[in-house]
Amino acid sequence: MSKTLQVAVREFVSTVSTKGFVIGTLVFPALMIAAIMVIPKLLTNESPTYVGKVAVLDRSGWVGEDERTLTDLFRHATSKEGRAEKKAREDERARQIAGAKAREFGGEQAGQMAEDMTDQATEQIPGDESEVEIVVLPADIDLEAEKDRLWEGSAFEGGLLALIVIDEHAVTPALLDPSPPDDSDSDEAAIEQETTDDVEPKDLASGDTVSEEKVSPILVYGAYESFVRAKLDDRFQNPLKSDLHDVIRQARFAAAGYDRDRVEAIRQVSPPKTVEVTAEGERGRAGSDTNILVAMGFMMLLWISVMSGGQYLMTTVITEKSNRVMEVLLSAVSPKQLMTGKILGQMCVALSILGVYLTIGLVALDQFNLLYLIEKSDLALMAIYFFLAFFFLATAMAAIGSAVTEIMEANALFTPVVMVLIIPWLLFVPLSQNPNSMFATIIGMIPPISPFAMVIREAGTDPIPVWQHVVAIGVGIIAVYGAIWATAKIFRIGVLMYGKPPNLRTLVKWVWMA
Amino acid sequence: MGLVEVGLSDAIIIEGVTKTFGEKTAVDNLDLRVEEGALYGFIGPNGAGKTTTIRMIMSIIFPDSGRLSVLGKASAVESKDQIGYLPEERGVYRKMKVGSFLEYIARLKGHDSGSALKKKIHDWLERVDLGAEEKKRCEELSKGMQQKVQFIACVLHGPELLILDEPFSGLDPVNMRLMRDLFLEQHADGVSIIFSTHVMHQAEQLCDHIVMINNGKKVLDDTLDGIRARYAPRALQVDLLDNDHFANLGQINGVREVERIDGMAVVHLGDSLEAQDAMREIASAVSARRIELRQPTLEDVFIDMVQSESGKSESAIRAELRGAEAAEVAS
Repeated sequence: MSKTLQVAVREFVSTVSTKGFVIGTLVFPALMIAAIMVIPKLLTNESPTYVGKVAVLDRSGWVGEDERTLTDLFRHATSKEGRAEKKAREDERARQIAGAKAREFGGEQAGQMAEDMTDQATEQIPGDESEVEIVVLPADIDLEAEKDRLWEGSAFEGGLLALIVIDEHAVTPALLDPSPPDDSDSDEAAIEQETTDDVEPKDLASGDTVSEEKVSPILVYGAYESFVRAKLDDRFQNPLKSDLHDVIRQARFAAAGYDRDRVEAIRQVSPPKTVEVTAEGERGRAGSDTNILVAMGFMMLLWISVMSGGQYLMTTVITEKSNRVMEVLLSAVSPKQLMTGKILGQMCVALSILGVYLTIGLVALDQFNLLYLIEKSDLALMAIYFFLAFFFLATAMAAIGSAVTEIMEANALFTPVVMVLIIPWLLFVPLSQNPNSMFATIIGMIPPISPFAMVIREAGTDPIPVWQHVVAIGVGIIAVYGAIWATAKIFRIGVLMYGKPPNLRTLVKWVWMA
Repeated sequence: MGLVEVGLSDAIIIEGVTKTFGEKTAVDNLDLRVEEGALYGFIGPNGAGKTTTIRMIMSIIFPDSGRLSVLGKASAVESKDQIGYLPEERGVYRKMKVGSFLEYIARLKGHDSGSALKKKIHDWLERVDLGAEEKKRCEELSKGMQQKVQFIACVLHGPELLILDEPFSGLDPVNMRLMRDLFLEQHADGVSIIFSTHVMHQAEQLCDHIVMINNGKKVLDDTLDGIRARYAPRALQVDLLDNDHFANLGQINGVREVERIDGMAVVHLGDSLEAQDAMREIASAVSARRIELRQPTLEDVFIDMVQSESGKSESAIRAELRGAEAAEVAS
């Protein structure tokens, strides 16, 4: 066995057989699993439990058939019974639709549909625990004084939580004149015309400036204003708003004489399930979000494995120096053999990490039937870019490790390396979303970030021309060769240097020394 | 007197080797031959260029100019496996077990793996009283124990040439003696040895050939006997019966200087006075228990040579050397 290989084997075994490595390697997937499975459970999606009042000033003046005002409807909708009713109504509707479809299509597909719809319908509305009292404000209230109450008292002890001012056109629309302004008319050409309860538009053609042709007016509904206490949780506000929207819609339908359920049905356009047709057959299509996740996954794998190997390499070089075992080794092997052996050993370490994580990732994808997202060519390219990325980082880390005596001293030299490694993360979004932009093309050819950039680009939806891979890999190999050459020089001088740690300039000087 | 016997070739040949680090010339046009099987003392003060020369011999660094040959090869790159090197900056893998560390280094040095090597390691550890430590991690060993492990590491593969850079630093007297016996045993087996130290009396006790360097230049290269012959005693050592007579010694004609060293009066002779005559004169001038020739130590020789070159006072140079030694003992 050659000396280089012996060094490599020791480097690999001594790194992999430590408890720190085993724990460190397994911690990451464990964290990922925790992030996916445990954390959402710990992060309850519930708003704080508020106890207080919501004041409503209803300027619409609408009163329904059963003498109930908007506020009455709103009070009912926000009550526990109201929310339960709404949920029951939605569930019922979903069930009816599913049942109807099942009768029509029969079989599995309909069952799945029913399930989907029920899932949507049963989505919990959070913030149920809060106790809210809806208070009606008289029309002549001093609004400014009322607003001041929003910062008095406590949101948990009966204070005013929100103040809602419903617009006068919230239920019945204002009518606007759509005809272009006329010279002969006054500045207020588009006069807002109020409607009365009968919702009968006034005859706009009666004016002398408008031609014989009758133009129908534009209906403009008002909404409401909402003043809330500072820092009132969105998860509390949103269901309230949603209830109010429901109530307003309900009132508008009633006022206009429409059947609410019918209109809701008309509005509904179910999004179709997109099916990708490939040579292997049809399959459900994952959205571009999934593609970004794949790019993210590839980038993470590459980054973590390369970074770990590089870190270990730097640490072991520094350890050999600070242990003073370096010169003992150099009596048996040349600096070049030592460096090559160590880099190869750590390459195997990085490959192991990559292998472990990739396997976990692929098994997980297989579990969710998403394995088709990964193409074999992607994996092959990632392997090539792994080697390029690893050699870039490993040479830098070997050079740094050889130049310093203590880990602490390495920080100053290590920082620029980390900054370069962060660039692909900063460019992740533009690279993954527009992999074929001029910018992405150029970044993909600049070592040492090219391997990362190319992996991100490749995982995107837009295929990259093959020649760009050829160029990126070619330029990468040349640059790696140069990096190894320079590092060999720094390493040879650095490993026996003790004392004041060199700065970047000194390192560059070493490269050019004979 | 460089004795070249028939049949003995040179283990190391250095011709006109120069090495500079930036502004500083560490080794300046050095010529050196080390015969096969010899025990060479490589001495000089700290910073004289000893370690740089040794590193060039080991091909860890390369000379700017000049020629080097080690064990008949153009450089140690090809003969590394036949050399055992105990560097001054030496250490062990702290987390590695003693046995595994020795096995790793021996295999890097080209030793076959297998049970033969394992047995050899075990035997060596037994010899230096570390048999029980084979399975321990290196970091559990004391500094002295680690040093013994390092020595084993540099002889395990059966080298033809041993280079030992300050091998005794940090050792207690018992272990120093043990290590010395181990060197001498290797020497008796015909291994060429270079023993580098700044502690000159150590070299004096062990070596048969001395190479002295100062400021990167070789200032002395001779057998110990040759040096002694060359530096004929120019001082007498007098053990006075009555210390009041000390002043009388200085009044003898031709005496350059009298000093007191370790309770003895040391009389330095001027050029005009022969040792034989001086003895007679002293015997008549004072009553003494003992009067004898004072053999020059390597330190005296070194001072003598450096003095003429640098113009520093004798006491200053001695203080420098002693200072380095004291620092060594303290550490």
